[in-house]
Amino acid sequence: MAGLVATFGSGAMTNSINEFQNAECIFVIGSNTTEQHPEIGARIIEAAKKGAKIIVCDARSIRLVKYAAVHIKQRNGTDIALLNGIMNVIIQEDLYDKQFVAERTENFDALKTLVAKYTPEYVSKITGVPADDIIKAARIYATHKKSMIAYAMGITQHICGVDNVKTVANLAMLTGHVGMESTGVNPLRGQNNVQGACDMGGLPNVFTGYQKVTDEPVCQKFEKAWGVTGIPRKVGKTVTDMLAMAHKGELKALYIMGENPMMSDPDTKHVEDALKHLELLIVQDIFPNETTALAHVVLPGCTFAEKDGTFSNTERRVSRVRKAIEPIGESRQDWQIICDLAQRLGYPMKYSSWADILREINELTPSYAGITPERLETGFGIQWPCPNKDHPGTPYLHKGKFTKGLGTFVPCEHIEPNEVPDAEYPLTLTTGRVYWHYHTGSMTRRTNLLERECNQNFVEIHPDTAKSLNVRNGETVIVETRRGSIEIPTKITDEIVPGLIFVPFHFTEAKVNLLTNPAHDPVGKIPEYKVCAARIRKKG
Amino acid sequence: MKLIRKQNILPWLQSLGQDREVWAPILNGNGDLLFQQIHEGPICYDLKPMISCRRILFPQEEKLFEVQTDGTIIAKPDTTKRVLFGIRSCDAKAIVFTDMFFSKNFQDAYYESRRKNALLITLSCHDPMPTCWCNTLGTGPFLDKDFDLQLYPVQEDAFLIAIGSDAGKSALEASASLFEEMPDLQAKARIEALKDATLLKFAKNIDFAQALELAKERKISPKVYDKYSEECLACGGCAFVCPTCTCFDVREFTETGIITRCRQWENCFFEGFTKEASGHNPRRRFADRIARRFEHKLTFEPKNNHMVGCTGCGRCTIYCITKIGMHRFAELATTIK
Repeated sequence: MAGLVATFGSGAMTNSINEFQNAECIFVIGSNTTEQHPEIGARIIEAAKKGAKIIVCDARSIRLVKYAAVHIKQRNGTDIALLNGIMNVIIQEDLYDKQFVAERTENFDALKTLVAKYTPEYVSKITGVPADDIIKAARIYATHKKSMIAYAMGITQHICGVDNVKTVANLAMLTGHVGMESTGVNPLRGQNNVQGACDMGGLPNVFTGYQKVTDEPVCQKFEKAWGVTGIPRKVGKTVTDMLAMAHKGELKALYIMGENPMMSDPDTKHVEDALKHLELLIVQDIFPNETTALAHVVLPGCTFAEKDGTFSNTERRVSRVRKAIEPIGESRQDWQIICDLAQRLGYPMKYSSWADILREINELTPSYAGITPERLETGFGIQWPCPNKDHPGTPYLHKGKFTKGLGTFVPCEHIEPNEVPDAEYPLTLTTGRVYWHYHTGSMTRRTNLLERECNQNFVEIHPDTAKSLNVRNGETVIVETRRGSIEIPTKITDEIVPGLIFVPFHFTEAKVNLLTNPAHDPVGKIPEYKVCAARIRKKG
Repeated sequence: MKLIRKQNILPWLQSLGQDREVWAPILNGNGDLLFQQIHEGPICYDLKPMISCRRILFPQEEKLFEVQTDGTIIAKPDTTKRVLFGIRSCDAKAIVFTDMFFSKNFQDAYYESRRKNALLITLSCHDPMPTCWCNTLGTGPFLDKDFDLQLYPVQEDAFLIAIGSDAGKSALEASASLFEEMPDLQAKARIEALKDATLLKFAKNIDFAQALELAKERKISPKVYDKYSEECLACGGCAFVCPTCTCFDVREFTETGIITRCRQWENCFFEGFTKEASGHNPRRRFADRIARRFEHKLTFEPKNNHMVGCTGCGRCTIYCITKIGMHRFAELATTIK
C-alpha cells in the first residue's frame, strides 16, 4: 500500500485480471500464482500458450516455472538488489522509455545514480543469481510493449516490504509499463475482500477511499455526516503496534474481527503473552479458533453464505454478495453486531440494510461515489475509481497521468534480512500456503474434502540439505528458530533450493508462526514472514 | 408428425406439471443457464445448460438413510415425478450411461426411483458449441432413441415432435388441442435439412475420432498426460460439469444422536480419491490421475461396457479455467507421439 502510494499515488492493483491473458510478458515475483490466485495463474498460462514470455523470480520451482523463459532463484530477501540490477541493465542498454520518464515521472536522476552500482555481477553476488539471467530478464521485460508485473506476499512480507514495492514500481515506470492495458504493477490480494477492508478505511491512517485522517476538511466532512465532533486527527495504530502496546500493558482492550493472530502473526508465544495482558479481548469470528480461545467475549459472526453486502476484490471490483441462507444459531451479520454495540455505547447507528451503508459510502467516498446498490444488482460489479452514477468504472489506473500527478522514482538500497543464517541456525526458513488450505484454516480445515487432500503440515527440504542432516522423506523432525520449535514431517523435494526450507502456516498442530521473526517493516509494519534463520534437528 | 408452437409449450408443460415437477433450462440471476423448475423464469431454447440434468437424477449430495437413536433405519428414495424438458442429445446419452452405471452390478434404489419417475423430453441440438464432438461419437446432435419425446426446432416459432415411448405418447395425448399435424414426409424432410445444417456447424480443427481410436488401443503417449498436468490446475470443475461422471463418496454425519449417511459427487483428480489409509497412493503423480480420468472414459468404458464414457458435450473445456478438458486432450493425443 505505502510503497505504491509513494510512487504512483494509489495503492491497488493497477490493471485487471482479464488483461493477463493478452500480455506479451509477465514478470512474476513473490507469488505462487497458480496455487494462490488460480484464476490469475490460469490466465498467465493462457498468455504463455499464446507466446507470452514469463519471468518467474522465486526460490521455489513453482508451477509457472514450466512456462518461464527465465527462472530466477534469488536468495530470499534480496528482491531490491535483483530489481535494481534489472534496472541497471535496462539503463545501461538504453532500453528504458525516455519519453515516459521525461513526461510522466520525476526523480529519475536519483534512480539512475543509485542503480549504477547494481551491475549484474554485483547483484549476482548478493542474490546468487547468474548475471546472464538478470540481463536476460531485463531485456525481455523492457522490450515487450505489454509487460505486466504480478507480485504477492513474497514481496511485501519483509522488513523492507515497502521498499520492495517501491522498487517494483520504479521498474514499471522506467520502462513505461503503466497506464496501459496489460501492463502495470499488480499486487495480488490474498483474500476476497482485503482490498475492500483497505478501501473502507480498515487502516490506521485513512477513512474510506484513502481519505487521510490528518486532513482537516475530510474530518469535518465525516463529523458532519455522522453528527459527531472530535474525531481524532491522529494516525492510529497498526496490529504490530497494538500487540506491542498490549504486551507492555499500555493497551487495555482489543476488539478483533475476522482475524486469528494466534495463527497468523509472527512469534506466536509473544502474541499469546500480549493478548493475555489485555483486560478485555473481544473476538468476532465465524468459528471458534486459537484466538477466540483467549477471548473474554466471543461475538459470532456469520459466513459469506449468510450475509448481504459487497466484496471488493483484488482488481478493485466491487460486487454483490447475496445471502443464500439465514444466519445459523446466534450468529449475525458483522454490520448488525457493530451497530448494536455502538447503540449500547450511546451512539445510535441507524442502518437498516447493507444498501443503506453503501449509500453513505457513495456520499462520503469519491472513488466509490458511482458504485450504488442499484447498479450492483445486475452485472459483475464495478471497478473503482467510479466517481459518478454514469461512470463505467476503471479497468486500469494511471492512464495519461498518475493519481498523484507525476510518478515518483523512489530509489532504494538493498537491505539484508533482519535475521540471516549463521553457524548456529544455518538454514533459511520461509513460510507460505498450500493449494488446499486458506490462511489459518478456520474454514478449510473444517472442510472434509480439503482436509483429505492435505491434513498435516510439512517442511520442504532440498535433497542435499536432507542428506547433510541425515533425514528421510516423511520423517518427523524438529524445526527450531530463536523463537521456538515445532515437530513436523519432512517433504524432500528438489523444487526448493538447498539451504532454504518452507513451511505453510495453516496448521495448528505445527504452528510455523511460533518460529517466525516479528521484525517488521518500519513503515508498513508488515512482519518478515519470508525469511528467518532456522535449524533442523533429528527427533529423539 | 406432431408440431407445437412455441407459445403453446409453457401451457403444455404446466398441464404436465399438475402432478409433477417440470424442469427446464432457465437463466438464473447471475447469467448461468441451469435446469430449474419452470416457475423460476422463461425457458431458454438456444443454449446448453452449464450443468446437465445429472444433478437432478443423481444429486451432488443426497441423503441415503438415517439411523435414529433407537437404531431404526429410515431410508426413503425420492419418488417425486418429474418432467425434464430441453435435454440435449449428449445429456440424454449420458443418462443412458448413468443408467448402466447404477444398474450394472446392483440396482441402486435411489437412482432407479428418480429415473423411473422422470419423463425425458429432449431437444435436438441445432447450435453446437465450438468444443462439442457428439457428431464423432454418434451421441448427437439428434437422437433416434433414448428419449420419451424429442423436439426439433424446425422453425423459429415451432417444434416438430418425435415420440420415443408410450409415456411420451400419453404426455401428448393429455393436451391434444395444443398440437398441430404436419404430414410425415414433409416433417422428415424438414428434420433432415435441419440435421444437415447442424452437422456443418461442428468445429473440424481437432481429430476426435483419431484421439478416441488411440485411446481405445491404449496408444496415448505418457507425455500427453505430463503436458496436460502442467496446464491443469486440479480444481476438479470438469468432473463437476461432466454429465457422465458417476463417482461418489459416502459419508456419515451425526447431529443430536441421529446418524445421516450421505453420498456426494467425487473427483478423480484429487489425491484423496485413491489415497490409502497408510498414505500410499497408487496414483500419487498428478499426471497419473489425469491418465486415470481419460483412460476410464475413453479406454476402459468402451472395453468393459461398450460405451464411451464421454458424450462429447464439450463442457469440460468451455468451463475450464485454463480451457483444456477433452478438447485439449484430443489435441495433445493426436499431436504428441
